[in-house]
Amino acid sequence: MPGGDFHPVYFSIVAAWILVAGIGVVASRSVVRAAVSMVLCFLGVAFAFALLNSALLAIVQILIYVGAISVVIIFGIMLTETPAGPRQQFFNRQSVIAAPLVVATAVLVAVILVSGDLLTAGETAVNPGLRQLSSLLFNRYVLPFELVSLVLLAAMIGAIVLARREDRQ
Amino acid sequence: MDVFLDILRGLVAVIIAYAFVFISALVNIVFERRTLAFMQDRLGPNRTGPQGILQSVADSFKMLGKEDFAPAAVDKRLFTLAPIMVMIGAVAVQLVIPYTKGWTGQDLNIGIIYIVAVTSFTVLAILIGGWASHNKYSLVGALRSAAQMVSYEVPMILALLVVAAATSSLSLNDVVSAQAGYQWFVFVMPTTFFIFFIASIAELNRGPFDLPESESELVAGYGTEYSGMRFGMFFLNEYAGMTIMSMVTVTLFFGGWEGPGEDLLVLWGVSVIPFVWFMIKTYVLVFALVWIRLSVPRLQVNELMAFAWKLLIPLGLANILASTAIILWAPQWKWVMAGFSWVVLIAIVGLFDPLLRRRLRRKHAQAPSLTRGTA
Repeated sequence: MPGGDFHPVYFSIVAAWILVAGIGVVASRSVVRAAVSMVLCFLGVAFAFALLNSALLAIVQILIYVGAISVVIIFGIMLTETPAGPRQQFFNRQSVIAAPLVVATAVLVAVILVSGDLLTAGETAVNPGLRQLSSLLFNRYVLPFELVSLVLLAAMIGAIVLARREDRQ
Repeated sequence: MDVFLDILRGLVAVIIAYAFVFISALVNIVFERRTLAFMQDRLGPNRTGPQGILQSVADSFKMLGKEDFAPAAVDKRLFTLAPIMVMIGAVAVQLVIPYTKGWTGQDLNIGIIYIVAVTSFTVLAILIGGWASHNKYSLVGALRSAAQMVSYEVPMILALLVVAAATSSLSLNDVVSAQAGYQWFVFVMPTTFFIFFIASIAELNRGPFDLPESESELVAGYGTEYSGMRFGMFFLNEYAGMTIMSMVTVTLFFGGWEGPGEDLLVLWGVSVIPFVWFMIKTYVLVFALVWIRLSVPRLQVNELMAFAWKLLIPLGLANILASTAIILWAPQWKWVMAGFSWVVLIAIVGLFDPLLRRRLRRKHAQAPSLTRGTA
């Protein structure tokens, strides 16, 4: 596995990467730059998965978040944002909502850390095998799986219908 | 200190991978120019070095010597990021390719998904570069390119699924060993190969799918504002992509490194002859790519999308259904299926041209003003 041995040096590089990219998302003045920072942040999370010895999750992270979701987001931004439009920070009036959320999250994380109920590495399926995953997905969880695909199909058809309606006007 | 040794090893591997990308791009550029020249009955570049083989080396020095220029209106950071990002796919794919017997960078058990995942960086880089250029031709080129690559990724994955089902593994080494004994997947399932090959040409943005940078319509597509070595990065990535994609195709469909004389020459524990076979097969495919580029005219945007969504994807779905049924219930009928598949394939290729012509004639009859005007 790539980077199979978890090591503080690797972890600090990856953590710094994720933090810098995450700050880039909220601090950028341009929406496209924020989106690109988000791509880099997703990539950092993929590295973190790889460090945790889960190549499958790392690659799925890249495939879905970098390859699909980010492309859609950037596509959407590019088609709607005018570069000549006003460029200001768009999160500067949210501190009243953000502050309690941040405090609550910090408290939650602290409580979990103190209570010590963390899964230790190697105890559960750290590297879920592709076979186990797929046999679970297509036997035990086949109904939720099919439901999810139905929801996605509905969303797809809905998107097409909406786009078409605008076309006719 | 072990960590730093590891990092050093990783760095060396990445540098070698980059070097391979650059060298294969330079080789491919000369190869394509000379081959096109031969097919068009002219000489091509033959002055720099023996038979002109140093032409692209000279060209790349020219590019390196140019001013590192960015227009005033561009988004500087993203404009710089895009050419850096565009190479990630070509470099990263090399990690999982089995070059020769028992010699892979990292035999990931999910190699096929890995390839699909890392190649998606190219789409992102092109989108970012096109947007950052602050130029409508760049943006339109980038959007076309992204739409094309996203669309053709679907049939490509449909084809990959059949390969994965036939080997019952996603590791590329298993794909190669499943084809042992010259049961190459190109013989066993030609329709799958056909779908994959066409989709891979579209993924490479090469002719006849080179609309994102169709010179006559979009100046140079997403690369319009780029110059010097930044343009060079996009350009080199495209040409290196020919080799990388052909290596993937050879691994998936042409038995990888399989060939006569496997263990004749072993140097430092690495069998050399299979590697030679691997490269020969790769360059036969690269030649095919050049040939196709010269022979087939460029598609229109609407034809491009129709071809992916109305032909390749339904064909890919039907192919998955038929192939997996054979693999699951009647593996002894494999070769019957292969024969049927060949017949279907030849029928499609044979019927495609007349059908296209008829549709074009109908279109011309419907919209005379579009075609009879300025030629």
